[in-house]
Amino acid sequence: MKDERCNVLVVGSGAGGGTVAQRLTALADRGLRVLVLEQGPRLEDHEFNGSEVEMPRALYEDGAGFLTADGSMTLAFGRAYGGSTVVYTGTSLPPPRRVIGEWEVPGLDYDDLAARTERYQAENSVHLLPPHRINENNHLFVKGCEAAGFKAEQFPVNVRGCRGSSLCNVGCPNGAKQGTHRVQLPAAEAGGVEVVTRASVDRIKAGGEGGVARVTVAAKQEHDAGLPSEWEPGEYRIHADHIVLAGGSIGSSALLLRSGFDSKLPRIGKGFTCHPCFILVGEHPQPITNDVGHPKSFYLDAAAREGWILETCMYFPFVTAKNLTGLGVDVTGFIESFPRLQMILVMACDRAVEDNRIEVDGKGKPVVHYTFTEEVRERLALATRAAARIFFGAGALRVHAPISQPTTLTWAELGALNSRIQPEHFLPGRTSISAAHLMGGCGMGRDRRDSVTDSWGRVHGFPWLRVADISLFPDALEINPYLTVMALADRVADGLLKEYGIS
Amino acid sequence: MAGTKIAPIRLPSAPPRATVSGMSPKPVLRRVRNTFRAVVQTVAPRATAFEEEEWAWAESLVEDALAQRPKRVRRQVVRFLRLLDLLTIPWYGWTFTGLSDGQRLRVLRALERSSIPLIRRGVWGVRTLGFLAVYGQEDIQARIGYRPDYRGWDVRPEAASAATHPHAGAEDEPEPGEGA
Repeated sequence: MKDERCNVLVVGSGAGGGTVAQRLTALADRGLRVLVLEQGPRLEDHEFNGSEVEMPRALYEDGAGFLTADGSMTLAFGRAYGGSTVVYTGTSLPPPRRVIGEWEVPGLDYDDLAARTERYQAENSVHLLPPHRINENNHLFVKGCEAAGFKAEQFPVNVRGCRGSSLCNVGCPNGAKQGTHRVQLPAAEAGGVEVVTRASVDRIKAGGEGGVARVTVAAKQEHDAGLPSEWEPGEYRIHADHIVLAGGSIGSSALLLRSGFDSKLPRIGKGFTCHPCFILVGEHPQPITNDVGHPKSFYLDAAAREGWILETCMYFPFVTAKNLTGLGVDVTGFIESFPRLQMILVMACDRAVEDNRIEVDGKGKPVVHYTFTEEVRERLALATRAAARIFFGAGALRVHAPISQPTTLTWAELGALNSRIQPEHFLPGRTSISAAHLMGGCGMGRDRRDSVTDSWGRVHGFPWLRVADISLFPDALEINPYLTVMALADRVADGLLKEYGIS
Repeated sequence: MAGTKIAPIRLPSAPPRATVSGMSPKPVLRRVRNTFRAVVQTVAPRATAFEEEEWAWAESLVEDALAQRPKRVRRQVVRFLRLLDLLTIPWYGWTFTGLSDGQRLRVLRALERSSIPLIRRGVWGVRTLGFLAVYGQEDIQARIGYRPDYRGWDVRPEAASAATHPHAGAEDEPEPGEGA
């Protein structure tokens, strides 16, 4: 076991960890040591090859196949230098004022959060793509919305030099997506912050005036993508004045649980939400552009009104087949028509409920328990009906809808959508469903009875420990979370810098 | 820095085929190969025309995927496929492997709606592997018309002109190196 010492240890390098890392260059400037540990690898540019089989194995936890405890939902989250910001589509929306108000976190001010959001919109090149960079899959969504009486909105995205490879979800092969792996982490490293990849934190505990982390640095295996770790493989004990957890909803919660913090903080792992979603596809009579161009350019936000959101999307053949529901031609009839497919992601806004939580098993591995409430099923049905109307409004001949019986709807059935698409057709274990917005587990609040941290990410009762990631959300955000995570992490970094006399 | 070009990336025009790594700690499918192939053909009928080479790719994709899953999951896959093969005997007097394509489809459709969650999970799991075996193959992806290219619009100008449409923001796309 080797010993290392630092002033601040950041666990995780995604939207939260990357943001904190960059802000803490102010400490590195003063000769203090800031370490960032990332469990996943650091890939070189040429390794982003766009393969839907190879890249998930390199960039996602469990190769993007992490399942909830009952196996009914797939949870996708990144595990690489840059975390999930490497593998999302770059959609960057500010937090909704309504939701932040409903969170009722004492000391969390919407205007403060919005101002911080603006900084990262600018820093990460968030903007609207110009018309000639929008493909037909997206245009048809807008057309369908207009026909169905909805108003689509365009996603601001954080790209620079986007060539339209359409491969965002397996890591941009052109380095265009401005995640923390492109912006904050390189800036942090240039400013003297050390980033160590392939480093997983087994446990943390109080030690001296700060905390101690037990860390394993893994060796790069023969078939692994990415560079070897910056450190020699082996076991380490890292002593830090402050530890900042930014391993995501599951990572940060699981680390605290296996370290035994739940005996004093009973809310760890609670309040898990994830915006459960599934894919609908519509088949058009003619080929459309869908495998070139940014895949997620428009959305329809009905969160405030009915608790659902629709987003354009375009996934890969295997992922698409897996995420449809059923067998044989019910699925392959669509997949084999790939050039004619339009795709919409249906997303339900779920609420934090007691049953949905993160735990750890006997080996300390995270286990996520998730039950689909009646409200979520109802919202999925409402959203599915809206999506079907949009497809047909855009000219699709038939639609695959996971909770329609049967799953294929034709244009002639447009008038029967309400009866064909029903919440009770949702059958966990049969209906393919997934989530990529994994929120909560170390929620902000008043005290240890209702939360894990305060509004500055300070863990109740542990002055050396902070959380700076999406696990801080006390409930669902009801929109893509990336910018909100960065804004919250920015607050956490501010609070920490103040302790060192920097404001 | 305006005008700075993206560093050239050495990639083929289509992503390379998935590597057949042979990294499986212990091959799983050889113990249940016939049942696995019957499931794949039912889930994705294109596989009924597979030549041996396509089966080799299919199985290597699945073996590689399973190799990265816990040992417990690999055992579950084998057990479920064995159970599935025997489960049809009381209904049809034949194992799953011995049934016609239509009979197999009826069996899987019934099982995926089973009142027993474990059975539903099992069907979902093997159907996922079946889709991986077929649509994870990049040759097949190309044959069904999926043809992404890291160069995007640059090599699909006809797609760009076909897609031009008024629904979008009017800002220019920043180039690499331009200020945010």
